[in-house]
Amino acid sequence: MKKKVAVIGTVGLPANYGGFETLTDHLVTQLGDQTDITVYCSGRRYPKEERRSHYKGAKLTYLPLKANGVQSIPYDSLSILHALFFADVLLILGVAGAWLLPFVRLFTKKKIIISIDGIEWKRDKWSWLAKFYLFWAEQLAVKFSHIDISDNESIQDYTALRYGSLSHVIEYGADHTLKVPVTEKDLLKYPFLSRPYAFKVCRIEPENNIEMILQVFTQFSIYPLVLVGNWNKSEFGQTIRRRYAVHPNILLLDPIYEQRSIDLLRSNAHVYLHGHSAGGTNPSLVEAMYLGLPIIAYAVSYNKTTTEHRARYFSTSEELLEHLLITTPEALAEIGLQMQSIADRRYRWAYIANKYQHLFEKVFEQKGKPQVAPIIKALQPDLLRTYGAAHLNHQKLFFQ
Amino acid sequence: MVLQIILGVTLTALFTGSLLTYLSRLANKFNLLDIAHEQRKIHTDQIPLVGGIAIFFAVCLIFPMVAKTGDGHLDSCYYIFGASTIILLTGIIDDKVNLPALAKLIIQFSVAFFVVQSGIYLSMSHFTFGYVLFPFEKIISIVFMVGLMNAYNFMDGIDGLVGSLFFLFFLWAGLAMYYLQMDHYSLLSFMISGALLVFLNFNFSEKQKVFMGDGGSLLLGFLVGTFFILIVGAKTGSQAKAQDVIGVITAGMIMLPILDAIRVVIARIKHGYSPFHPDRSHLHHILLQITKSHFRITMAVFFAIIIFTVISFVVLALFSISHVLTFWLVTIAVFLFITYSQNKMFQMSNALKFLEKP
Repeated sequence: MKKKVAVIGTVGLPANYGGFETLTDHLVTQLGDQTDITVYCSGRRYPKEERRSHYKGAKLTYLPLKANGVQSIPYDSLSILHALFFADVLLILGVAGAWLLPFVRLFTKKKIIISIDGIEWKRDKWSWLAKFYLFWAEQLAVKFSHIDISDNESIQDYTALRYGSLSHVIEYGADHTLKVPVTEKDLLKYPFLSRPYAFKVCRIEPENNIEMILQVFTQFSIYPLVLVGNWNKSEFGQTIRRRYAVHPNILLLDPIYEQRSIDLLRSNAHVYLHGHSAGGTNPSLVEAMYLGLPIIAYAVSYNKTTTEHRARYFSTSEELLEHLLITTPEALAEIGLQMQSIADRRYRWAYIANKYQHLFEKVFEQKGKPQVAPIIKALQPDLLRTYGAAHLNHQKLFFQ
Repeated sequence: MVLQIILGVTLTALFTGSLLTYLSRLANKFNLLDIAHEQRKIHTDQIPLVGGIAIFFAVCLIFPMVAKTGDGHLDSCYYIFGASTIILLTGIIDDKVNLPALAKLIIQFSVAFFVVQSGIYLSMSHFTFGYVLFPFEKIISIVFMVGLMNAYNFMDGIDGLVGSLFFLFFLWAGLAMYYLQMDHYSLLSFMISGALLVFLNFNFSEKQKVFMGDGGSLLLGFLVGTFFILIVGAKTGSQAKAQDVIGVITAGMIMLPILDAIRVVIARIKHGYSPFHPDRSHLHHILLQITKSHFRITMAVFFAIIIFTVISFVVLALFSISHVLTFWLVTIAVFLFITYSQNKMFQMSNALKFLEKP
């Protein structure tokens, strides 16, 4: 019999938005014939006439709430409660509804798999109250789930450090992005395509180090920077746009939601800049890697593990400028090839979906959460000393 | 009486203002400055520690001028002044030379003993079904006073925090004692709150900043303890409900420093340190993790206490004293949960710096 899986915590399908939605879309595509998937969707994002009962074989259930912000707490909670009536496995993406998990564990035998996303409570974009809630909810999420998923090895280090339990690392896929050759029509619309340019796409938030990168391109003039983002969403974005848009070497574009256009701009870039400092594995970085772009990324551990330490990294504007000036086109091409080979190996949806399918089976067999501390810790230190093995008590673990 | 209070408060406020300006200059000469040499201090300049002295002198000088002679409480008032002098002097000496904690405690206990012997102590006969626990009442009162003054001293770490807590308490104590017809104490309370208002202005200012000093916070904390005992012990005649209301609000006002001190002391002992071991675990340190603005922290704590006492009052008016106690227990649990988690969050985020280091 097919297992019934409820996917909770996304905006919904068909995917138009962030990483979790794209992930769900691909899970449904890849696993549709092995599992019976139900996806909860936000009725606020899908008006009545756009709604459908099924999508690629998955059942869609709409809730009249927003999936983001404060409303994500009742949205996730209601989804969890509803899913208890039919699902065997709850796949919860994000920790907003985690306050319910102790009760779910206490009163039902449903299996819970939760993806904690990045270290959300550390992100500066949240208010103190939101951080506080996320910090606490994440603790419940890890302690009361059967399996927790990190999207990056550095996040796995973090859960090992904080909870002493071993998290499963599953990243994102990128093979939905395509290399798009430039046509005559494209050149009319985007004239900069005819020459090399640096490219970056991101949400316009301080944590993405936009100012640092723009600062560099006011001094660097060999090729221009094209930056796509939601400039008009915040005061911060508008201020920055006003300050830097006048510079001849900088091109600030409004967000592009059409897949071909964004792939066109990305895949023809000379170099891809990635300034994200928060979260774990960023889908935009993975996608750039899959396109074989040479990557210069901000030097946080998440980006380093995503690119397997083989891209170029900067932490100050001086370092970025140096990379741009020194790195030869041959070296850049070499980086691009390496990135592509990593992405081919790790960031394919079929591979990612298989990992999820494996967890859907493993969750029924696993007894208790795997701990990071070695079993030897359970023995008395005196006993170890008696047998001359006290050194076993002082092993360094992978996150130390 | 109202006229007396208005006159007293105005004179005290004016006098405190001029004393603060004068003493700030003098403090440079006598080296009564707080210098940011220790790591846990939050400011960076040299700030005169004269707040407590100025408030005390202003009140001492104006009080005999405006108080009516011949009333019953006047003698007790001078008892309290005497005790205050000793505490203030100890505090000043401590600000200059850092006395050992044990010596300070001994002095504090002797002063509290002196006050209790003069007849000011918590009467607990209604908790013990009429049995008089004679020595215990006095011992508990002494411990309460010493504990409370140190609790307020612990709170003194950022601009305006302890000053505004004192201001709120003495304003309320003035009103309560006016209602209870303890005229001299009421006058004294209002005068102190007037002086504190002026002090807060200096405390928040950039150019003429002064601190209260250990002497000031210990002294005013001691007065809070004394006034608490006086208010709670006062008889309201047949108005039993009024006594409950006054008791609940007064206790609600001093709860935060006590609770935070207990939390900090237990944590220190648990980690194997002395209860007076300096660290960064006080409430204001935890709030500084959230925002750097002293003013916002002070306002948040100030209004949190007002809201807390108003809710306590409403619960008492609608239900009963046992419902108030339930509400308090819930609030205490929430407070402990928030402070504990926030501190943990801060430590965890420091521990995770390695993830973001290049």
